Amino acid sequence: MSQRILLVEDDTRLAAMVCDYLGEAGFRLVIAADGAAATRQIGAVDFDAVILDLMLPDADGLDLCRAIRARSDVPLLMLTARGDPLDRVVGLELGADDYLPKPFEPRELLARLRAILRRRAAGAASDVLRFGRLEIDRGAREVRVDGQRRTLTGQQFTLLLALAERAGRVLSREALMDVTKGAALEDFDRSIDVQISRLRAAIEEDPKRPRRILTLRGAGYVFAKEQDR
Amino acid sequence: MRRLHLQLYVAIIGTLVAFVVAGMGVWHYFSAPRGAIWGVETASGLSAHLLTAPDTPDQERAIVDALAAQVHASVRLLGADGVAEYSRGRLPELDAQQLSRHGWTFTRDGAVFNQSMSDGRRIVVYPYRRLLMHGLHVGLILVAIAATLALITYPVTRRLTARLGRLEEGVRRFGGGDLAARVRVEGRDEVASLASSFNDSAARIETLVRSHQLLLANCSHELRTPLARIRMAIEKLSGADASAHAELTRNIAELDALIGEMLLASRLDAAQKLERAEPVDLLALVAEEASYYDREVIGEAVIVNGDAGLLRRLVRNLLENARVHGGGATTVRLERSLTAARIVVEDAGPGVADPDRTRIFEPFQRATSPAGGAAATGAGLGLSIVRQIAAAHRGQVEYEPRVGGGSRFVVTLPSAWR
Repeated sequence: MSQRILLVEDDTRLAAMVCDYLGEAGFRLVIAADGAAATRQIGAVDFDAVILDLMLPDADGLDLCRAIRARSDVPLLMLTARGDPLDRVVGLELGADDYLPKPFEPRELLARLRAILRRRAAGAASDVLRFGRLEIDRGAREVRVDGQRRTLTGQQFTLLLALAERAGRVLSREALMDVTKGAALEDFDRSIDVQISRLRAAIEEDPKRPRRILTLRGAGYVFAKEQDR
Repeated sequence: MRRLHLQLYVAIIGTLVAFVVAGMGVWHYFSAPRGAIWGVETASGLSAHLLTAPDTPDQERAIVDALAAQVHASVRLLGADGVAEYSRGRLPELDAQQLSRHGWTFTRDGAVFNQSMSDGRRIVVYPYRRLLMHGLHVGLILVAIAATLALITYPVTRRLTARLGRLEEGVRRFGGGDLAARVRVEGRDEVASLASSFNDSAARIETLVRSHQLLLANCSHELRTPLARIRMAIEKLSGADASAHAELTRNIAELDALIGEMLLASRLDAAQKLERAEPVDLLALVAEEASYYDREVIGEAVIVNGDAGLLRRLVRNLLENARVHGGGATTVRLERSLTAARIVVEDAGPGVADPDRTRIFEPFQRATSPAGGAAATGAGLGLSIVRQIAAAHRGQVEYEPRVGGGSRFVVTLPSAWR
């Protein structure tokens, strides 16, 4: 059964192209050209997801986002040309599940749409930290990149979680040692550096040129806050 | 219509008139006409003549009494030895020096006329009214009047200029970036009309800036939507060769980056202060950005208060500049002093010639470097955005030639208290 998507986009030519593209990927799309049409459609049909342009002729996308959230928890992907990081924060706070700036890679649109649908299918219980394509599921204690599970030992997961929960901050080896010692005792004689390089092997594209876990000579490690941009 | 210059003029004239009236009053109250002084002197002189003729004490007393009655004064007749022979009324005490002097002498209780006689005796006349005043006393009284007037006129001038003060305050708030700042229009003079024309200009500027911002936001939307369409269309060119595909994609990315830079630059221009500020671990942020250029960062942890997104942009632009113009950064370093953090990015490129060193931070200016602008990409906004972001954080960016050739960019940011 194909999933039904509502596309709220005032540019009809772009809407038609997105419609074609996602149609080929097996989605059924309904296009609403303005806020009023979108509100009407949402009332009438039960959609699996909504793709919403922030700039509409008759309504502010953020208001529409709020209105949609007030009546249903349908997965919401926001499209915007503003690209202002502040818009992103506001959009996500209003309940959008993800955000994609224009101009976007069609494949990325597809990937993000699938991701929010998958997340919704997996259930709302997910206690997940997301960094670009990396997902750290605290509930299930597992790590995924692009939805693919990566195997980690318990201690490696603890270490990764310690890093990720403090993303964007420099952590010394001693601090990491303290965090991991309490949790899992296996391999506790292994040095932090060895564990880090194993973590890199598991989650980095190229472990020799790390992008997610960075070494700071003489200071420690940093877990990058903005990944896969 | 009460004009400001008339108000000021009236205030000045009023003060002068008040001073003159007060001075006249003092003069009238404390002093008598010149004639009265002359009268005392003449009467005393004549009495002295009368008294030098051989008289009986009774006749002398009669002359003294007559003198006292005529000039309204206390009079004392002193012998040649300085002992009083006869007194009419009360007189202030005079010391030997004052007695030896002929003419007017000043005591605490007022002026006294001292008339010596040819036989060595003297008459001392002390008029009931103060006929003569000491110059110092006159001065003190005038100063007192002036001080009183000064106290009275202060609130008047304050009231006249208070509105100017409020106007100035409003103009300053507007200049500080509060576009909604307006001033109250009070009175009907030049200050009031200045206030109302300021309000008109402010409203015009506000409309202009707001529509400029709206235009930019719309521009972004209007430009990026066709870009998104092109990007979608490229995907359909499945048969096209890979290099053309890649070239198109790269051009779209460049256009997108350019639109983003222009928007950011004008937003930073309009904003006087940061939209949000939070403690940022600068070392981690710089390390993260440097990792995209495969560079390692040396330095100490520093916390600065700022907008993490903008600071990221600042570091990225410096690294991008080093990559494009200097063959990649050779050193990325973070230094910490007591009050500031310094981000140092060095490259071993051709460097910047002396005349271009301040110009490179201007928008749309690219150094006319010896290497030629062949490899130059971007709109030339990168370093100007670096400077804008540094300024928004109350910091600065400086260019220095690197030892051994190349460039060295130093961004100084005030660090947060830990």
